[in-house]
Amino acid sequence: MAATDAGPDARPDRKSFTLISRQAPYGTDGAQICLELALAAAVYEQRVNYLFVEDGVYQLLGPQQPDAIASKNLLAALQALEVYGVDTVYVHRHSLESRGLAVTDLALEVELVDDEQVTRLVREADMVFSL
Amino acid sequence: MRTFLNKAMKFSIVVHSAPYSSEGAHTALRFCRTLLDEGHQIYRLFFFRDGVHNLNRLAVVGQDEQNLQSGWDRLIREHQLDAVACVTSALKRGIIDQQEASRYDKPAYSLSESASIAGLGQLVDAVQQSDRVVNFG
Repeated sequence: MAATDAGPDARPDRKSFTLISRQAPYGTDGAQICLELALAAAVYEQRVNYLFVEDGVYQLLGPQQPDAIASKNLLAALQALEVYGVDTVYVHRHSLESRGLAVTDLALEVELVDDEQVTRLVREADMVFSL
Repeated sequence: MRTFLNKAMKFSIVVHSAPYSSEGAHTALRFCRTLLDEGHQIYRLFFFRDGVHNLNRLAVVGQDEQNLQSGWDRLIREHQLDAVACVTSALKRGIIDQQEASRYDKPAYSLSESASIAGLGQLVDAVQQSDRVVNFG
């Protein structure tokens, strides 16, 4: 957020979006659509929280070789989130660990969150999209 | 009389699913009718992903089945609603208006004339302007 920003009250049109990405990449359009929504919200200067839960955590594994199925590389696009002003990417700890994965397996810098913080991200958002 | 919510609100509706293959679009249409019957306002209908098929004006539906495409068209016209098909979802599914048909040299156009094509900015705007945004499918 810019240093000149006087806080959320200064921009009543600025909403907070929590995007919950819960599907593995490529099998359905959910992961790609969630990313497109995040980028659109960020481009229009909304506040965006991006949260990976359930099979969504598989999106963060690298390297991905989607060329083999003539698809675009989703991970490369996710790595651009920061450029669009989506600073914090959250990963649900239980989703990650129950799939035998650890934060060191992920190709993106993320913040691990527990159930309670997931609840907070949903409760405090003006808008939640779950895809 | 309102059976749900005691204060009139401004809603936007996002339809993600195609007609007929799942119940989402049908439920969305019934939800919209109920909202309007109960005195709420609909700021925008946003058709996203497979949901754009709800705006196909070329659909032919058997007489013993509910025609969802014409159901949406009727709702939009009767209440003069703002109905938008997401451009990236719509074009690749062949849901195009007259202008896009001539631009890409296509033999027909398929988008209901009561709707228009626009980008995701219209969804972000709907979130900003509405009291509630409800997703279906």
